[in-house]
Amino acid sequence: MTCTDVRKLLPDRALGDLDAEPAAEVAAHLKECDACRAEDGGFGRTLGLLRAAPAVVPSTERRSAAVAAMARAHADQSELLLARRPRRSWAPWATAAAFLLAVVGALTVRGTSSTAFTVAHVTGRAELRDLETGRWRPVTSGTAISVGDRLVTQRDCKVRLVAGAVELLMDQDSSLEIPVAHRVALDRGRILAVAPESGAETLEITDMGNNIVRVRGRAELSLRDVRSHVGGSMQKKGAPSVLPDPKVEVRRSLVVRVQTGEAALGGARKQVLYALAGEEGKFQFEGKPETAPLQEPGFGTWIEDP
Amino acid sequence: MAGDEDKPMNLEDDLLRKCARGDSAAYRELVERLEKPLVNFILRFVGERHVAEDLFQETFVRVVKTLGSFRPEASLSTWIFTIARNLSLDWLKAKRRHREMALDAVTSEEKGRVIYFKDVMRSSSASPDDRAESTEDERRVTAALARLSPIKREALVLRIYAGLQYSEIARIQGAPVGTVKFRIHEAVRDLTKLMGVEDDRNSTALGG
Repeated sequence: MTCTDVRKLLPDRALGDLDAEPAAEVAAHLKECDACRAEDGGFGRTLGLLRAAPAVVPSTERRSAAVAAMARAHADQSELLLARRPRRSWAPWATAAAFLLAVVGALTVRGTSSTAFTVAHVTGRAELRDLETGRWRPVTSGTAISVGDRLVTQRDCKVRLVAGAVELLMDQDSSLEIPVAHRVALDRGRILAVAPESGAETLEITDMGNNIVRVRGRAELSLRDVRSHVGGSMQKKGAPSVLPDPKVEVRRSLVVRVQTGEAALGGARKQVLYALAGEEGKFQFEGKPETAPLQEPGFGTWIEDP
Repeated sequence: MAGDEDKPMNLEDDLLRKCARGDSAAYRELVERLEKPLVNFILRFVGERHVAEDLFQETFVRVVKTLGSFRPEASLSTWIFTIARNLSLDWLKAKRRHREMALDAVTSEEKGRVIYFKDVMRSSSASPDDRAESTEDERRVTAALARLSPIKREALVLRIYAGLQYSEIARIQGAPVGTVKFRIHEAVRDLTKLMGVEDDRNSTALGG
């Protein structure tokens, strides 16, 4: 190895990135060459100083402030659905109520258990994972579903849940969790949501992509794969300007079909759109909501009273 | 940090799912999992402790706001470091625009002349409190890092203080792995020169 070859490798050596074989060759050269050894020593001292700088850790207050700020950001996004609601005269009251609900929800510590739904009827086998014990148990009529619980329906099973004037029918092979009262996080499958078209009681359904749907009326919600064509950007400077082929990306997100009333769709980037009766709404890949007339005639053919 | 990628994906999925639902315990877990490499990366990148902590907090707020745009093909930590990096770059740009970055002024005015370390330190933007808390060696490192180009500094700091792999840094910087390696090598060379100047002056002063 010449001095030029060795000097190219010295930063790698200082960073500890050299493989065994070149490392041995460099070490052999350094024994013989004062100039390269001096340069190697300089790099070593530099890395030593960098690594010796003491690591900092955020203060407890800062960590708590970060967590609180995250909860506020989440609550702000939830509030947005009603805050931008233009059509109802009682909107300011609803906004205030929703904000309160969102803040309370955001501050809810897991482990505080309160009944969010009661099982009105069940056909087949459904199981509930209890937040407190972490154990699964079968669901029967009258079972109380608490905040934090997870409910899963098996094949050929449907479950009807009620909470005041709000009703929720779970289809077979579905899974959901109750993060806060009047909110359902759908992980798998399909549900029918029923909430009064006016008044304070609503039902919110979220997916993993931070999309949220608030139902006033009767709507069917399911998780479906949404396909998007994603274009690339220009590659290297100086290289021929060829655009990479667009990729098809698939993401599972909420699709809502509204029978009566309306559903507000809140996207991951704060866009809000309303799907009215006879329309269906979904979220594009980047979280932007869109609505269209119902594609398939016949609403909720899977729904039979259990 | 690099270790984050070693965790099973389903744990990461579960954590993300809980975060998407506004679960405060999940927020805390996410913060605790990444806080050390993240705040050290930001600190060494922007050079100011109080700014680093502000940007650290803002990073996690952005995480909540943009959770829907997370693509599973990137690791969670790479995505969060990218957010932190973009916030840090925005802050550095804003600072430069407002001509508050004394080090930049020194660099442009003194171009072509030897910059002595004590001069750099005098013009360092660290607050008096920050300076009082740090050791001499740490101040040397902070001042020398501040004089690297942002792109080299970012690559080096992601490697040394966040412990990221070259491939992760490449994804964050949107550059090929070879380019990232080159930037880090150059950063090491530049830093050695920058810190070597002071070593020479010290030894001269002591000797004379």
